[in-house]
Amino acid sequence: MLIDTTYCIGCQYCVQACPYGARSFNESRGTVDKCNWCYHRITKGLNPACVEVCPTGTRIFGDRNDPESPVSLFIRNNHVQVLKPEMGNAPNVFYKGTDKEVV
Amino acid sequence: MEHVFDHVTPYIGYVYPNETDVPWSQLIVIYPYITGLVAGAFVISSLYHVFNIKSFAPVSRFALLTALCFMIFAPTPLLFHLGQPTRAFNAVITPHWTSAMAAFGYVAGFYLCLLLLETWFAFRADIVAMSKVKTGIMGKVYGVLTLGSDDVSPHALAIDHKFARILSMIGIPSAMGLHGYVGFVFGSLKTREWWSSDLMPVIFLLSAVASGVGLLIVLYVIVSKFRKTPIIDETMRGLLYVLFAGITIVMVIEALELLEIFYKAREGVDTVKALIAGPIWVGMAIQWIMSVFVLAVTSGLLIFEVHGKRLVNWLFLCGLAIMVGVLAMRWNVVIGGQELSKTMKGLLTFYPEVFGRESLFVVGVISVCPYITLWLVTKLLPPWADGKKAVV
Repeated sequence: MLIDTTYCIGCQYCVQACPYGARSFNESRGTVDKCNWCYHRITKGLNPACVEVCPTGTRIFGDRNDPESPVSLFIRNNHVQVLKPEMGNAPNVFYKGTDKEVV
Repeated sequence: MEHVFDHVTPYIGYVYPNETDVPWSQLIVIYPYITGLVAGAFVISSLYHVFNIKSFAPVSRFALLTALCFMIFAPTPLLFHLGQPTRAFNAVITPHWTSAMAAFGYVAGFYLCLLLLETWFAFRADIVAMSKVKTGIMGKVYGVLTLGSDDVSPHALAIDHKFARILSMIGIPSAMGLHGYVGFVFGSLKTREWWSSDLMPVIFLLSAVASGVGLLIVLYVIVSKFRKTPIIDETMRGLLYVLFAGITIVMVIEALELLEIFYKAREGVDTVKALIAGPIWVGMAIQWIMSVFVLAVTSGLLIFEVHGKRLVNWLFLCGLAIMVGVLAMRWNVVIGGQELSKTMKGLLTFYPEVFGRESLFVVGVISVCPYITLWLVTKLLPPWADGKKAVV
């Protein structure tokens, strides 16, 4: 999900609507911000910075439309959960072995 | 960067990091409050224009102007709140159908046009008369306001009356829609337990009507005192009936809403209880004490068939009380909803800014503006019939 900072009016309705607390308001820009998976990197075929630098290799990033990509294989071969499934948002971030306390 | 930490909202328990910057401030408290006053004032105007309830005739045109003046300022809190206010109209011109925000532009814009049109039809005969009497700049102003239509024959006046009535009829669902929409904006946010309720539009709508009637009572009494004109007993009785009906229904629905939350007792209900006992207890106390006061006094006024000066004094107090009570209710809903963390395992305590773009000072200025505008507009278009029968 990308935010067009030339289009956002800064009403923060999306901040209210986000069940994961993923969005925040950028005071200097007057628009909303959220993680964009390092769009500038992934469009050049690189991994997002957090995936790249994670010292334990906890994070896997990839194309879910490609059934043979590492992330698709991981989702298929592991028991994974999403955060707040009852919200019906079908998020694309999956967790393995999530503690109930963080869901 | 340090300024980010200036307004970190204090919290207890577990909250998401971004929640410590409360997105919707006190400006969003007065936004539903002002639109609510519009809806209530318009209902009183319609009770005469559409339902022909004669006791509201003396205040019907004043109520219409009140609705118009408050409606003009309804979007201002939103403009002050937006991070990019200059793009506000983009939301209307290039709407996102998955966001409820664009709808505000359509609903509010339509309703404002409707109010302007109805006001013009309701006052056209007076404007024409003024344009012929007044000289100088004001004469020209009234001349322009006639929009070139200076026919005041009985036939033309009958057409005015008919149009004002039709517009008033369209205005009822529009006013309901406008305020129901405000309730929808909150009620449809499934992420917030305190907001996400199907009763939200109904609660907003009913409390809006009650607060608007309260406003009209207060203004009618004050204006009559200043103009040294008698306060018509029948009108006050009429306003009493509407206020009683409004407060009774709104209290029952609000109580049912709370009861449902507690009876369902979903995960996190303890945090909801802690919210009521903690960050918003003052607001809750004001809201319910004022509501009970208004219910008790209006019931008493009805049972003991109070008339005259005592009716005026007590109803005036009720009007003030309901306005304060509904303002507290808006605070409890808007701020309370954000003080309850989305984790349902933490609470925040919001402290409003005193000066700044989204501050109490700005809220004060915006709140006073509709009253000043109303005062100026009543100078331009005197809504009082003063002995003679109301024209429309």
